[in-house]
Amino acid sequence: MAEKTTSDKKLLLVEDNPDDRDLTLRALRSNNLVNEIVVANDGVEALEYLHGAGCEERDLPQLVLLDLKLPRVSGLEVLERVRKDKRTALLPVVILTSSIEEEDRLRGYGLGANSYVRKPVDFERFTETVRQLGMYWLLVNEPPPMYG
Amino acid sequence: MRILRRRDKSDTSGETPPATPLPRSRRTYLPPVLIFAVLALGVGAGGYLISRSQSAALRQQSAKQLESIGTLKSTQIASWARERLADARVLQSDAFLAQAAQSWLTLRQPNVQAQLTRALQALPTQYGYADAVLFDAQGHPRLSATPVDVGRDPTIASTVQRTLASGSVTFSDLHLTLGGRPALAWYAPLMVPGRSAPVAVVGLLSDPNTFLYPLIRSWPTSSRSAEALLVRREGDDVLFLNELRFRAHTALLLSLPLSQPDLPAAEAVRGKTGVVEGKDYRGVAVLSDLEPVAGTPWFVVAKMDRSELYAPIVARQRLILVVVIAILAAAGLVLVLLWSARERREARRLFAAERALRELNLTLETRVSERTTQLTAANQELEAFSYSVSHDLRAPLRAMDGFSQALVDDYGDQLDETAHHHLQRVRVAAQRMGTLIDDLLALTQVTRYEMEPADVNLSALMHEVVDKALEQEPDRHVEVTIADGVHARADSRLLRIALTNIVDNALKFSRGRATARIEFGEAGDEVGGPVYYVRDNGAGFDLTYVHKLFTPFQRLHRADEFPGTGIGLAIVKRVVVRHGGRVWIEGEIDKGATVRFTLST
Ligand SMILES: Nc1ncnc2c1ncn2[C@@H]1O[C@H](COP(=O)(O)OP(=O)(O)O)[C@@H](O)[C@H]1O
Ligand SMILES: [Mg+2]
Repeated sequence: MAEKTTSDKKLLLVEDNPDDRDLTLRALRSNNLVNEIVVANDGVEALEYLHGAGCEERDLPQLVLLDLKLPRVSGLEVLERVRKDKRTALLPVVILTSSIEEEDRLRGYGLGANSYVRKPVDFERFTETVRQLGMYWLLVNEPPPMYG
Repeated sequence: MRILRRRDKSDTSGETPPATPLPRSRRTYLPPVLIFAVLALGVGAGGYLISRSQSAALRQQSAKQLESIGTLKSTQIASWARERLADARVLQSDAFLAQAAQSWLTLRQPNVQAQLTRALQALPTQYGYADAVLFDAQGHPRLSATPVDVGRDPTIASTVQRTLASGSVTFSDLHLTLGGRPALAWYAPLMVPGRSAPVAVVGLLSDPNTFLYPLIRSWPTSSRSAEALLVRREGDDVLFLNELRFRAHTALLLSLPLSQPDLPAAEAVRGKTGVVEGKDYRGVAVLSDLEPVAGTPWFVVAKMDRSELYAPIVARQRLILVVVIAILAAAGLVLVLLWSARERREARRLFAAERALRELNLTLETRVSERTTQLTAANQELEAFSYSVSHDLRAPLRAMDGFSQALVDDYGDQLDETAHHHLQRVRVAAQRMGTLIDDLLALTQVTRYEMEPADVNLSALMHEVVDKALEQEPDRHVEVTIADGVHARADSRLLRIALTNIVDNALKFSRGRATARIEFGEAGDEVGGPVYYVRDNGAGFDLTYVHKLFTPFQRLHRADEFPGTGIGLAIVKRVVVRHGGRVWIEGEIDKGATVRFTLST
């Protein structure tokens, strides 16, 4: 499930929809922003990667792109567990989802999401959105100390 | 997921208001009291009038009765006195008697004396005199019918002398004799031809107790107070000649000052006749008839106590009063009965109405709770639906758009122009559907949103909305007029959404104007509050289709002319309706449009 590049910039994409997953990967790659993209197909996989066996050997990703509507464990639940765990409490998490339902935004921010971004239908705008996200969180933003 | 709970007016939450009883029409007793008062006034006035007319009639009747008695008495007394005078005149003109008297007085023949005595004795027996006495020319009594000695009575002596002197019949009015008995007398001079002075005098002595007083005392009807008086003037006094009914030993002894006001006897002597009211010698209120007695110095006062006379009046009045009270009591009773029956009817009606209302309330409660359950279910469905639309419906569109683009990116050089064009159409359609979904969600958002009404400064809100809209189009020349101080009770977030849609339209449809004009204000009053309006000078529209505009996705302009999905006015309507208001739009092609709405939260 992991796709490694040589750089130390790592990103975790949590997305169940294969179309969205491919489009997101496509947008990320076209911008050449990141060396390693780890993809989790649902919440369980995401938590397994972050907190599961052998996680100590793995470096934490610089950024998590988190979809909300996921089978088994929802995106909000993932976020909640990530924040509750000391190891990932400060991990930058950006919710990237179709919905801009008020309820989702409230709870997302309430659980400590660093950002809430909506996926546009227009692929050009989607690509642009993803590019900006990558630029900001991987290049502009200074990560919390433990990620140094 | 959020459980929807709305707090605005149209909310039908689970709990139902308690069944409030009908406002009871205040039980008022005013109408019957009023009716009774009017009745009492009418009956009372009627009774009073009847009593008054009856009293007057009775009073008049008693006055008449009294008057006829008084007149009768005075004529009876007058005729009695006239007869006595006539008796004296007959004696005076009796030549035989005069001759006999003269001859007996000079010659003392016994046979003549016997003749004279017989003649004298005939007078008391035939005419009721107490005595008949023959006086000589010197005034000495010589013969009499009865053996009573009258020789020393000064009144008799002086009257005889007057008769001798005058030579005509003389009346000796009622007086007391030396023995204290009332008496009156007529004296007839006896004349013989050839002599100018009387040769003798015959005195006809009368005892009033035999005829006069009984005549006066008699009264044609039985009465406890009726009384007739005979009076005459005596100096400055009025002298009561007969024995009074209510006081003993008064005949010729009681006299009262003539000046005493109110005293009927005094008034009679003063010349008054007819029926008068006054106070008699006892000081008792009486009604009197005053009549002079012709041919005498006497006056008859026929009187009766007013208390007795008016007793029937009082009794009649009392009877009328009782009747009036009885009528009123009966009327009052009938009224009370009628009214309480009415009240009972009313109470029954009210009770029935209340019961009906309670039943209605009860069914209403169940209906409301049913509806609430349905509504809650519908809302939850809508919520779930929106959530799923929001999350799931857009992903396929994104895939369609994204992979079309991927195709162009990766295989663009292998596709001809038509293929490129088709892919472009796929992308446009996908994106349009994305917009439609977003609009639909916006509409459901307005429906689902929980209102929080507060005082909203519409003027300020309008400024913000317009400023924000103009930021998108900095090159436009727009003249904005916003009325100051327009306030309303509303949910500011919903209202901002509505105003934004209205302003967006105004800006959009006035795009062709060199100077677009947008005006906001408050005008007139509708039933239900003020009417707000937003006017523009844009393209306007054909009024024929105006009714469609507030339905989602209905538009009157082509998308290539003025872009849009047709959700704006539907959102506006939803917002206004949620505030309990009304919204409508007016317009004319090329003359601009005006959106008007009311709010009543
Ligand atoms: N200010 C206006 N001037 C002229 N037409 C208007 C105006 N506002 C609304 N309309 C008409 O009503 C239609 C529906 O409006 P709306 O629901 O806001 O949808 P949209 O703005 O997306 O077209 C518009 O397409 C237009 O035909
Ligand atoms: Mg519009």
